[in-house]
Amino acid sequence: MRKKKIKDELLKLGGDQIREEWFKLDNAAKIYPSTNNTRWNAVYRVCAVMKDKVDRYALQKAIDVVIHRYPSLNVTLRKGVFWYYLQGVDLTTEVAQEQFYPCQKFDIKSNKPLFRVLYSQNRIIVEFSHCLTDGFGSVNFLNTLVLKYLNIIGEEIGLDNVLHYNDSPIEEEVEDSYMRYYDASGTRQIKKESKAYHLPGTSELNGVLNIIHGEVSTDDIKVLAKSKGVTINQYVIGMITYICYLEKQKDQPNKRKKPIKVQFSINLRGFMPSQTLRNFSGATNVQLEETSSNMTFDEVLQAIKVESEKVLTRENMQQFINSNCSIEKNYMMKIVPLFLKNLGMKMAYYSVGESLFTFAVTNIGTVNPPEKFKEHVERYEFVLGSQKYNRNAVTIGSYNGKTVFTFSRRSKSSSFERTFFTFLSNQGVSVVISSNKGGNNEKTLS
Amino acid sequence: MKKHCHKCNVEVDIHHNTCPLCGAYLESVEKLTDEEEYKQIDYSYPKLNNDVVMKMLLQKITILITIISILACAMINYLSNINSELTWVWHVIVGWIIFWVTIGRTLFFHLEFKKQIVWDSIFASLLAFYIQFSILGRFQLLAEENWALVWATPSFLLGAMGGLAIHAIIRYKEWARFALPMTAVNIISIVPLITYYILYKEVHFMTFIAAGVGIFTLISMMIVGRKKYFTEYMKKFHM
Repeated sequence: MRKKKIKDELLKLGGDQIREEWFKLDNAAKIYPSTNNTRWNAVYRVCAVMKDKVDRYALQKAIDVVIHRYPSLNVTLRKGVFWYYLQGVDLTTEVAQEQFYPCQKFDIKSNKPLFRVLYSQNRIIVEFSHCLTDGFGSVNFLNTLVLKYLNIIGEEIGLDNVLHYNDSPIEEEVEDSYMRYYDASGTRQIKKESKAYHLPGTSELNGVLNIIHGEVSTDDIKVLAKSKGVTINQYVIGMITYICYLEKQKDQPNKRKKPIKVQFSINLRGFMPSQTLRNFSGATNVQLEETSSNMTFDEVLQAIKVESEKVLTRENMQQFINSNCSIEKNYMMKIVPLFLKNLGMKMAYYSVGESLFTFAVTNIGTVNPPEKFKEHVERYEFVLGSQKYNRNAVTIGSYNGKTVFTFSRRSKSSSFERTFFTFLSNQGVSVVISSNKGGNNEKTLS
Repeated sequence: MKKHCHKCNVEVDIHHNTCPLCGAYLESVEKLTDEEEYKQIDYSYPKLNNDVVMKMLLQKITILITIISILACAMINYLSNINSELTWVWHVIVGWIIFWVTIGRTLFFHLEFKKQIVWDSIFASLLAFYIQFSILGRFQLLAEENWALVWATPSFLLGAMGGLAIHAIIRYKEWARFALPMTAVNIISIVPLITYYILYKEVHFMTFIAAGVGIFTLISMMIVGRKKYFTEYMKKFHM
């Protein structure tokens, strides 16, 4: 017994079990480690709110099994001479109780996995660095984790709409789909975008992220959108744009010159078939053409409808991929050492990254897990971590007839969310609010 | 069961005392029984821990103290010197650099041990040259005066190689990760030998030992590590 203990200790001392597998960062992920600083990196959260309190030990057992199904997630970030890369490891992911604000930065130099599994009361939470995967991959991972968790606590669940933890991963799941669809001879986006208007506000201390969830009926939103002749996405972007427009009208005249642009994340799998569980999403900016200084909501909505139909096309997405991949493929770019690339990318991110949009909107869409999940999972929540320069973002996800809007912000004021949800409730939509502020358990930092 | 905020016209989760949107106090609802409380889905977040924020504040304060002390010392040095020259303030600056490269970096930036050991050996060597220059006040030195090149630098590099080797043996499963820092130190270990030869047209045994150990370790890694060693380079240098 003692000998075994000593052997285990020696094995543990021997370091992490490194797998032979390693991955180049996909095209979208390349920007994230380079723009990382001591306070920030791109982190987001997917979360399943269970109907019962979460059993920590069952969750630990579940993650120990599920992680082997996702080889592209069981990795650490390493620095190369020209690019970062992901090194496969067999690390044990410790389930921890949530203690701090959501989406804390990952210490990417620590050789730990770039995701964390947390629990808190009824929530099963997984936070990912965007280097690893996008919303699609992370929701798949969460569903597999919940499936195994439910199996461990004795529930029999059907295998529809979920990647089973006993299946072997297929090659396409770890491919860089940007490179697959990159067309070297195809057209590229060449338009030069102007800087966008930014919402005013006082920033919180670094690391503080204020979250407000608003739960509404999906059918109510559908009815509202249908009554205006637009899609749900267009309706939400329209509302966000309209509130930005109202805020802008209140701002100082010299700051009103810049246009309002809402950045909308797009799952490229909807345009180009792919089973990859790594990043394969894009983003496009929808700009409001301001025709007067007192536009109505309907006018803004129609302007957004026209603009979004113009930008959300397969051709644009192809151009988006071609542009981004051509930079990576550029020979000059390849031979520049990483520390210079990091400097360049930091500057590029500041000048043409977040400064080009006012507000970020991500719609994960409808989550369709196995039917039996409805007996155990109350709702899904998606939280976009704080951005580097912009202070506000919203993530939308629907499940079982409920849509949850999650606003995350680094600014102190909640006036934007208040206008948003009051606007919805005034349209006859019942809204239920929850937050990490104003709760019984809260201990503020001030 | 939900609370209602009349100001915002929204329902609010029962675990909130104030409305998250407007901050208004919410009317309390009837106390739930234990069974009802257990069945209630808890959307609340846990107590907040401010360690991370405190660490960031500490980092900012330390940076501020560094800047203020350097500026203050520079000003005192400038005003108190008859020739209006900066003399001793350089030692304060070097002191702070030592702090940030060693303790400060470990405290605030989590540099990996293997990288820390490489940078520390290089920095210690530079520090030795600084001290040597401060004592002797000139760059042109005789062979027997140049202890920084002959003794200090090779010793620090040998120490770094030893430290890395021991660490690689202890963490044998991931020894390949030490390939790049090891190779870097091994190559740097040849520098004192070459520099000494260029300056004094002879070879000092200490510089020879450092270079010899460096070359031997490098070749050993290539032979013993073979595929793993070169795969590590393929990863590190992939384009």
